Amino acid sequence: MLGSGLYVIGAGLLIYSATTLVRGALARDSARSAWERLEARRSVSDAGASFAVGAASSFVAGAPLSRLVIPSIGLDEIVVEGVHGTALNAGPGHLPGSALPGERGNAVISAHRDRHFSQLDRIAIGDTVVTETLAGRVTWVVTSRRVVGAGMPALYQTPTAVLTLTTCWPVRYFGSAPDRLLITANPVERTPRA
Amino acid sequence: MKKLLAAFTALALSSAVPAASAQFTAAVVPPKKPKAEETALIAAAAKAEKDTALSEKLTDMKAWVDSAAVALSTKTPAPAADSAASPDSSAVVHEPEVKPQAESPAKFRNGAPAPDTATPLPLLLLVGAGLVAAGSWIRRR
Repeated sequence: MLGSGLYVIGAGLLIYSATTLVRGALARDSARSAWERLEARRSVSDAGASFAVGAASSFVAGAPLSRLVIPSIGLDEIVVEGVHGTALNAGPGHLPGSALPGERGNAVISAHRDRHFSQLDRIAIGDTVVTETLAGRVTWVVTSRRVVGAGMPALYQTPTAVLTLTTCWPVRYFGSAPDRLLITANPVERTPRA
Repeated sequence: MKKLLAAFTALALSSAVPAASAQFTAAVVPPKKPKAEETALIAAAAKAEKDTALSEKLTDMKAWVDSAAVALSTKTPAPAADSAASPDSSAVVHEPEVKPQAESPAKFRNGAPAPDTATPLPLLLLVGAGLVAAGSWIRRR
Protein backbone atom coordinates (compact mmCIF):
# COMPACT_ATOMS: atom_id res chain seq x y z
CA MET A 1 0.00 0.00 0.00
CA LEU A 2 2.76 2.44 0.99
CA GLY A 3 4.81 1.40 -2.01
CA SER A 4 1.89 1.98 -4.35
CA GLY A 5 1.21 5.37 -2.78
CA LEU A 6 4.79 6.52 -3.19
CA TYR A 7 4.82 5.17 -6.71
CA VAL A 8 1.66 7.06 -7.66
CA ILE A 9 2.84 10.34 -6.09
CA GLY A 10 6.24 10.04 -7.76
CA ALA A 11 4.69 9.24 -11.09
CA GLY A 12 2.38 12.24 -10.69
CA LEU A 13 5.34 14.55 -10.08
CA LEU A 14 7.19 13.14 -13.07
CA ILE A 15 4.15 13.50 -15.30
CA TYR A 16 3.63 17.09 -14.14
CA SER A 17 7.29 17.95 -14.81
CA ALA A 18 7.25 16.26 -18.19
CA THR A 19 4.04 18.03 -19.14
CA THR A 20 5.56 21.38 -18.17
CA LEU A 21 8.62 20.68 -20.26
CA VAL A 22 6.57 19.56 -23.25
CA ARG A 23 4.32 22.61 -22.97
CA GLY A 24 7.45 24.78 -22.84
CA ALA A 25 8.85 23.13 -25.94
CA LEU A 26 5.58 23.67 -27.81
CA ALA A 27 5.40 27.29 -26.67
CA ARG A 28 8.99 27.78 -27.75
CA ASP A 29 8.21 26.44 -31.23
CA SER A 30 5.15 28.60 -31.38
CA ALA A 31 7.18 31.70 -30.43
CA ARG A 32 9.76 30.89 -33.09
CA SER A 33 7.07 30.47 -35.74
CA ALA A 34 5.47 33.75 -34.71
CA TRP A 35 8.84 35.48 -34.88
CA GLU A 36 9.50 34.12 -38.35
CA ARG A 37 6.09 35.32 -39.49
CA LEU A 38 6.86 38.76 -38.06
CA GLU A 39 10.18 38.86 -39.84
CA ALA A 40 8.63 37.77 -43.11
CA ARG A 41 5.94 40.41 -42.80
CA ARG A 42 8.56 43.00 -41.95
CA SER A 43 10.66 42.16 -44.96
CA VAL A 44 7.64 42.41 -47.23
CA SER A 45 6.35 45.71 -45.92
CA ASP A 46 8.18 48.56 -44.30
CA ALA A 47 5.70 48.70 -41.47
CA GLY A 48 8.36 48.08 -38.86
CA ALA A 49 9.88 51.53 -39.25
CA SER A 50 8.04 52.77 -36.20
CA PHE A 51 9.12 49.73 -34.22
CA ALA A 52 12.44 51.28 -33.33
CA VAL A 53 10.81 53.94 -31.24
CA GLY A 54 7.96 51.82 -29.91
CA ALA A 55 7.48 51.60 -26.19
CA ALA A 56 8.60 48.28 -24.80
CA SER A 57 5.64 48.22 -22.47
CA SER A 58 3.22 48.15 -25.37
CA PHE A 59 3.91 44.52 -26.22
CA VAL A 60 1.46 41.83 -25.34
CA ALA A 61 2.68 39.38 -22.72
CA GLY A 62 4.09 36.30 -24.38
CA ALA A 63 4.54 37.96 -27.77
CA PRO A 64 7.87 37.36 -29.48
CA LEU A 65 9.90 40.54 -29.75
CA SER A 66 13.51 39.66 -30.38
CA ARG A 67 15.95 36.95 -31.28
CA LEU A 68 18.88 36.30 -28.96
CA VAL A 69 21.99 34.54 -30.18
CA ILE A 70 25.06 33.72 -28.07
CA PRO A 71 27.43 31.74 -30.29
CA SER A 72 29.89 30.86 -27.51
CA ILE A 73 27.29 28.78 -25.66
CA GLY A 74 25.26 27.72 -28.66
CA LEU A 75 22.18 29.68 -27.67
CA ASP A 76 19.64 30.78 -30.26
CA GLU A 77 16.29 31.68 -28.72
CA ILE A 78 13.29 33.87 -29.38
CA VAL A 79 12.74 36.36 -26.60
CA VAL A 80 9.13 36.83 -25.56
CA GLU A 81 7.54 39.64 -23.60
CA GLY A 82 7.18 39.09 -19.86
CA VAL A 83 8.98 37.26 -17.10
CA HIS A 84 6.02 35.34 -15.69
CA GLY A 85 5.84 31.56 -15.63
CA THR A 86 4.17 30.99 -18.99
CA ALA A 87 6.48 33.38 -20.83
CA LEU A 88 9.63 31.92 -19.28
CA ASN A 89 8.40 28.45 -20.18
CA ALA A 90 8.39 29.50 -23.85
CA GLY A 91 11.72 31.26 -23.93
CA PRO A 92 13.85 33.99 -22.43
CA GLY A 93 11.60 36.81 -21.26
CA HIS A 94 12.00 40.53 -21.75
CA LEU A 95 11.32 42.43 -18.54
CA PRO A 96 8.36 44.72 -19.32
CA GLY A 97 9.24 48.37 -19.02
CA SER A 98 12.90 47.84 -19.77
CA ALA A 99 14.32 48.99 -23.09
CA LEU A 100 14.17 46.87 -26.19
CA PRO A 101 17.55 45.40 -27.14
CA GLY A 102 19.37 48.14 -29.04
CA GLU A 103 17.25 50.99 -27.74
CA ARG A 104 18.69 53.53 -25.35
CA GLY A 105 18.40 52.15 -21.84
CA ASN A 106 18.79 48.87 -20.06
CA ALA A 107 17.26 45.91 -21.87
CA VAL A 108 16.71 43.10 -19.39
CA ILE A 109 16.26 39.52 -20.58
CA SER A 110 15.76 36.67 -18.10
CA ALA A 111 15.34 32.92 -18.40
CA HIS A 112 15.26 29.78 -16.32
CA ARG A 113 18.62 28.31 -15.40
CA ASP A 114 17.41 24.79 -16.12
CA ARG A 115 16.23 25.55 -19.62
CA HIS A 116 17.09 28.37 -22.01
CA PHE A 117 19.90 29.87 -19.90
CA SER A 118 21.26 26.55 -18.66
CA GLN A 119 24.65 27.38 -20.19
CA LEU A 120 24.74 31.03 -19.19
CA ASP A 121 27.33 30.29 -16.52
CA ARG A 122 29.79 29.41 -19.31
CA ILE A 123 29.62 32.87 -20.84
CA ALA A 124 32.80 34.89 -20.38
CA ILE A 125 33.70 38.55 -20.54
CA GLY A 126 34.47 39.42 -24.15
CA ASP A 127 31.97 36.94 -25.61
CA THR A 128 29.67 38.15 -28.33
CA VAL A 129 25.91 38.38 -28.03
CA VAL A 130 23.66 39.19 -30.97
CA THR A 131 20.11 40.48 -30.74
CA GLU A 132 17.72 40.96 -33.61
CA THR A 133 14.58 42.99 -33.40
CA LEU A 134 12.36 44.20 -36.19
CA ALA A 135 14.34 47.44 -36.02
CA GLY A 136 17.69 45.86 -36.68
CA ARG A 137 20.52 43.72 -35.48
CA VAL A 138 22.85 44.66 -32.64
CA THR A 139 26.09 42.95 -31.72
CA TRP A 140 27.04 43.18 -28.07
CA VAL A 141 30.17 42.31 -26.13
CA VAL A 142 29.92 40.98 -22.61
CA THR A 143 31.55 43.48 -20.28
CA SER A 144 30.64 42.26 -16.81
CA ARG A 145 29.44 39.23 -14.95
CA ARG A 146 28.30 39.32 -11.37
CA VAL A 147 26.28 37.39 -8.85
CA VAL A 148 23.88 39.15 -6.48
CA GLY A 149 21.44 37.99 -3.85
CA ALA A 150 17.91 37.25 -5.05
CA GLY A 151 16.40 40.27 -3.33
CA MET A 152 19.24 42.69 -3.88
CA PRO A 153 18.78 45.76 -6.09
CA ALA A 154 20.36 44.80 -9.39
CA LEU A 155 18.67 46.54 -12.30
CA TYR A 156 19.19 50.18 -13.07
CA GLN A 157 18.22 52.44 -15.91
CA THR A 158 21.15 53.50 -18.08
CA PRO A 159 21.62 56.51 -20.34
CA THR A 160 23.01 54.34 -23.13
CA ALA A 161 22.02 51.00 -24.61
CA VAL A 162 22.92 48.11 -22.31
CA LEU A 163 21.86 44.48 -22.42
CA THR A 164 21.44 42.61 -19.14
CA LEU A 165 20.91 38.86 -19.09
CA THR A 166 19.79 37.31 -15.82
CA THR A 167 19.14 33.86 -14.50
CA CYS A 168 19.22 32.06 -11.17
CA TRP A 169 22.49 31.18 -9.51
CA PRO A 170 23.93 28.63 -8.89
CA VAL A 171 22.85 27.21 -12.23
CA ARG A 172 23.18 23.62 -10.99
CA TYR A 173 21.04 23.73 -7.89
CA PHE A 174 18.04 21.84 -6.59
CA GLY A 175 15.37 24.01 -5.07
CA SER A 176 14.93 27.75 -5.15
CA ALA A 177 18.30 29.23 -6.07
CA PRO A 178 19.35 31.93 -3.62
CA ASP A 179 21.26 34.20 -6.01
CA ARG A 180 21.03 35.72 -9.47
CA LEU A 181 23.63 35.79 -12.21
CA LEU A 182 23.77 39.06 -14.13
CA ILE A 183 25.58 39.36 -17.44
CA THR A 184 25.97 42.85 -18.84
CA ALA A 185 26.85 43.58 -22.45
CA ASN A 186 27.45 46.76 -24.40
CA PRO A 187 26.73 47.33 -28.09
CA VAL A 188 29.60 47.35 -30.54
CA GLU A 189 27.81 47.17 -33.86
CA ARG A 190 24.38 48.07 -35.11
CA THR A 191 22.88 47.03 -38.39
CA PRO A 192 19.54 48.68 -39.04
CA ARG A 193 17.10 46.84 -41.21
CA ALA A 194 17.00 48.00 -44.80
CA MET B 1 -93.53 52.11 -12.97
CA LYS B 2 -91.30 54.04 -15.34
CA LYS B 3 -91.21 56.95 -12.95
CA LEU B 4 -90.29 54.66 -10.11
CA LEU B 5 -87.46 53.10 -12.17
CA ALA B 6 -86.11 56.52 -13.19
CA ALA B 7 -86.18 57.69 -9.57
CA PHE B 8 -84.37 54.57 -8.46
CA THR B 9 -81.73 54.98 -11.17
CA ALA B 10 -81.21 58.63 -10.25
CA LEU B 11 -80.83 57.70 -6.61
CA ALA B 12 -78.34 54.94 -7.42
CA LEU B 13 -76.26 57.22 -9.61
CA SER B 14 -76.22 59.99 -7.08
CA SER B 15 -75.07 57.60 -4.33
CA ALA B 16 -72.39 56.01 -6.56
CA VAL B 17 -70.71 59.31 -7.54
CA PRO B 18 -68.79 59.88 -4.28
CA ALA B 19 -67.35 56.35 -4.34
CA ALA B 20 -66.41 56.63 -8.02
CA SER B 21 -64.86 60.01 -7.52
CA ALA B 22 -62.91 58.65 -4.56
CA GLN B 23 -61.59 55.76 -6.63
CA PHE B 24 -60.82 58.07 -9.50
CA THR B 25 -58.99 60.48 -7.21
CA ALA B 26 -56.96 57.65 -5.69
CA ALA B 27 -55.99 56.37 -9.14
CA VAL B 28 -55.06 59.74 -10.55
CA VAL B 29 -52.97 61.13 -7.73
CA PRO B 30 -49.36 60.81 -9.00
CA PRO B 31 -46.93 58.97 -6.82
CA LYS B 32 -44.74 61.07 -4.67
CA LYS B 33 -41.52 61.97 -6.36
CA PRO B 34 -38.62 60.77 -4.29
CA LYS B 35 -36.56 63.58 -3.00
CA ALA B 36 -33.12 64.14 -4.45
CA GLU B 37 -31.48 62.93 -1.25
CA GLU B 38 -33.49 59.70 -1.28
CA THR B 39 -32.54 59.08 -4.91
CA ALA B 40 -28.88 59.59 -4.12
CA LEU B 41 -29.10 57.22 -1.15
CA ILE B 42 -30.78 54.51 -3.21
CA ALA B 43 -28.18 54.85 -5.95
CA ALA B 44 -25.33 54.73 -3.42
CA ALA B 45 -26.75 51.63 -1.74
CA ALA B 46 -27.18 49.85 -5.07
CA LYS B 47 -23.63 50.75 -6.07
CA ALA B 48 -22.24 49.63 -2.75
CA GLU B 49 -24.09 46.32 -2.98
CA LYS B 50 -22.79 45.76 -6.50
CA ASP B 51 -19.24 46.67 -5.55
CA THR B 52 -19.34 44.45 -2.48
CA ALA B 53 -20.41 41.49 -4.59
CA LEU B 54 -17.61 42.22 -7.00
CA SER B 55 -15.06 42.54 -4.23
CA GLU B 56 -16.14 39.24 -2.70
CA LYS B 57 -15.73 37.60 -6.07
CA LEU B 58 -12.28 39.12 -6.51
CA THR B 59 -11.27 38.04 -3.02
CA ASP B 60 -11.73 34.47 -4.12
CA MET B 61 -9.53 35.04 -7.12
CA LYS B 62 -6.35 35.02 -5.09
CA ALA B 63 -4.29 33.90 -8.01
CA TRP B 64 -5.44 36.85 -10.01
CA VAL B 65 -4.74 39.22 -7.15
CA ASP B 66 -1.26 37.83 -6.68
CA SER B 67 -0.46 38.19 -10.33
CA ALA B 68 -1.85 41.69 -10.43
CA ALA B 69 -0.31 42.80 -7.16
CA VAL B 70 2.70 44.41 -8.67
CA ALA B 71 0.78 45.91 -11.55
CA LEU B 72 -1.44 47.57 -8.99
CA SER B 73 1.44 49.06 -7.05
CA THR B 74 -0.12 52.39 -7.89
CA LYS B 75 -3.15 51.64 -5.78
CA THR B 76 -6.54 52.94 -6.78
CA PRO B 77 -8.54 54.19 -3.83
CA ALA B 78 -11.83 53.05 -5.38
CA PRO B 79 -12.18 49.67 -3.63
CA ALA B 80 -11.61 51.20 -0.20
CA ALA B 81 -14.19 53.90 -0.84
CA ASP B 82 -16.70 51.37 -2.10
CA SER B 83 -16.24 49.10 0.88
CA ALA B 84 -16.76 52.05 3.17
CA ALA B 85 -20.04 52.74 1.46
CA SER B 86 -21.07 49.11 1.69
CA PRO B 87 -23.96 48.50 4.07
CA ASP B 88 -22.31 45.27 5.25
CA SER B 89 -19.01 46.19 6.80
CA SER B 90 -18.08 42.53 7.28
CA ALA B 91 -17.68 42.20 3.52
CA VAL B 92 -14.18 43.58 3.61
CA VAL B 93 -12.42 44.41 0.40
CA HIS B 94 -9.08 42.71 0.59
CA GLU B 95 -6.55 44.94 -1.01
CA PRO B 96 -4.13 43.19 -3.33
CA GLU B 97 -1.07 42.04 -1.50
CA VAL B 98 1.70 44.37 -2.52
CA LYS B 99 4.82 42.33 -2.72
CA PRO B 100 7.77 43.54 -0.72
CA GLN B 101 10.73 45.20 -2.40
CA ALA B 102 12.73 42.00 -2.39
CA GLU B 103 10.20 40.22 -4.59
CA SER B 104 10.80 39.76 -8.25
CA PRO B 105 9.56 42.68 -10.32
CA ALA B 106 6.95 42.26 -13.02
CA LYS B 107 8.04 45.54 -14.54
CA PHE B 108 11.35 47.28 -14.81
CA ARG B 109 12.09 49.93 -12.25
CA ASN B 110 15.28 51.50 -11.03
CA GLY B 111 16.93 49.45 -8.32
CA ALA B 112 14.72 46.44 -8.83
CA PRO B 113 16.04 42.97 -8.07
CA ALA B 114 16.55 40.57 -10.94
CA PRO B 115 13.40 38.71 -12.02
CA ASP B 116 12.61 35.51 -10.20
CA THR B 117 13.69 32.80 -12.58
CA ALA B 118 13.77 30.10 -9.93
CA THR B 119 11.87 26.99 -10.93
CA PRO B 120 10.99 23.94 -8.85
CA LEU B 121 11.10 21.67 -11.88
CA PRO B 122 14.52 20.06 -11.25
CA LEU B 123 13.52 19.40 -7.64
CA LEU B 124 10.17 17.96 -8.69
CA LEU B 125 11.88 15.68 -11.19
CA LEU B 126 14.33 14.48 -8.55
CA VAL B 127 11.67 13.94 -5.89
CA GLY B 128 9.38 12.24 -8.39
CA ALA B 129 12.10 9.88 -9.54
CA GLY B 130 13.04 9.16 -5.91
CA LEU B 131 9.45 8.40 -4.93
CA VAL B 132 8.93 6.13 -7.93
CA ALA B 133 12.14 4.27 -7.09
CA ALA B 134 11.22 3.97 -3.41
CA GLY B 135 7.69 2.86 -4.26
CA SER B 136 8.95 0.22 -6.67
CA TRP B 137 11.44 -1.06 -4.10
CA ILE B 138 8.81 -1.28 -1.34
CA ARG B 139 6.34 -3.05 -3.62
CA ARG B 140 8.92 -5.61 -4.65
CA ARG B 141 9.82 -6.57 -1.06
